[in-house]
Amino acid sequence: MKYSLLASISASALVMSSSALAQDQIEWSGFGSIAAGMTTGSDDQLFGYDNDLDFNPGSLFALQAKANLSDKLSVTTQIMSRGSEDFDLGVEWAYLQYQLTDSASVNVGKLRLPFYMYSDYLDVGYSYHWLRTPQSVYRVPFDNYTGVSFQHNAFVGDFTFNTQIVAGNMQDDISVIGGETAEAELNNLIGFNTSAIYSNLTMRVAYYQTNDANIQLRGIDGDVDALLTLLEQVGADQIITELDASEDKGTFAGVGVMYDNFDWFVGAEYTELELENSYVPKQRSAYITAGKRFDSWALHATYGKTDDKVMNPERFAVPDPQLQAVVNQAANIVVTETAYSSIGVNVNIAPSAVLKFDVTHADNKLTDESDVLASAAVQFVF
Amino acid sequence: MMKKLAVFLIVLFAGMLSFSASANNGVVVSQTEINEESIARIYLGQSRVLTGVNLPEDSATRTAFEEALVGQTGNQLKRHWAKLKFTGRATPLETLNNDDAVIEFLKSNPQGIGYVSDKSKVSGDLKVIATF
Repeated sequence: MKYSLLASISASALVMSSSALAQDQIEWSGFGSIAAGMTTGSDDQLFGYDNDLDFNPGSLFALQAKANLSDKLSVTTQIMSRGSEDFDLGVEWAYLQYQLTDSASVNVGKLRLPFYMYSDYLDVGYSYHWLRTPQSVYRVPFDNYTGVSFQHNAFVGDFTFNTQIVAGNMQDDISVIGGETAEAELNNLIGFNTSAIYSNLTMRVAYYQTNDANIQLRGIDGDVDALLTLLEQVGADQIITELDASEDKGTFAGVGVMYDNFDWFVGAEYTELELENSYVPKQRSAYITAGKRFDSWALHATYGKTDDKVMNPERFAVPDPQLQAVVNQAANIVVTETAYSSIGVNVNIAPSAVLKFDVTHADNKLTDESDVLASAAVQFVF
Repeated sequence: MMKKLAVFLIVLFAGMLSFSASANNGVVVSQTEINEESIARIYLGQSRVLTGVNLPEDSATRTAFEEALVGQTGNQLKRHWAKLKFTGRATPLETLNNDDAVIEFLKSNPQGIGYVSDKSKVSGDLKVIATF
């Protein structure tokens, strides 16, 4: 699938470049991040890093080609190679854009699902102050969807409103329990986000929902499989339905704010994700961040927290106490309650490149474990 | 030694004077009348009512224009436009080499807008929209 898609994109890129050469209208650009990190404790693990220096988890390269087919119609592809996926090439964005008016456009294709304030720029580390977006909030295990997006800019008094409405579906292998991957599918996904910008202040709200969310549960984890078989044997099929994410309703809501007067900045985001009738808990996530810029460098700090809650735990009730203990364990399998604090220093090393240092401390309240990760990265655009 | 220092200071002072004089002479130019807020919106990629053109990144006129009328530093705007470019929100504005190229572009594009360091180059159908 990946290769056939890649082949077709490469082919279309070739067609694009040969036809566009004549018009001299193909625009190439790109960005990247070379990151290195290691945890300070020999048993510490965080964001894919352990106690050995690793260049893979945070490194990526992307190349974007945009061709204007007419004044109003353009085609854009973004091909990315991520260290976390062994630098395999993948198509991150691929869409047609039609400019409806001076302030409205519509995109069709493979697009970014804009859950969070920085979702759109997630991979363009150069564009934000963190080395990586705060993992307390930026933790939905998929980034893209296939479908339609409508963008609109409005000016009301001194306010600028950027609104985006999306519709489509998502199908991807996502990472679940203990780093294992599972097939996930969200259908009939609709939602919107609006940013209100007033001078140095940006406020944002977002809401998305699906009535058909599916995450394959069987075959991911031996213990989960054994439990499901056991539940079938004792005739507790109802519990399986409650654990399973199958044709379930999912909602996502988020609010964010950022004040940035170029000398200093402060911002925060809060999100809530719910997947009814499944093992996925209600996920509440937040962070607050602040920083100060100096001539060619900046200093910043971020505090974030996850606070998950198993919804209606009574739906997992079974008469057998021993079995109940196992069911409860399964229902709490992805519950997290972790606090993250990080400080970072950024140094502008070229007009289009920044060197970033970050130390993040994660404190897992449920296991009482804490991990410390030190990272450095050079992030750039061209 | 004192003499050298005095000469150095005079040259430096004169240099600063001429720099500030040229910075004060900058003008935003178009054939189409538009208000100052719209100028910022065009150069922030939020509005396409007119097609904006830029001078090169290392131009002092560009720096003065961005700080005075867009309200952002060059670095901030670079980050801002990186966001727009890689999310398909806007296409980067064209960069022209010098004042003369900007004037030439504006004369043949009624829907164009740009800025130059020298007010005296504004002629014909072109109007001064703002000064900086």
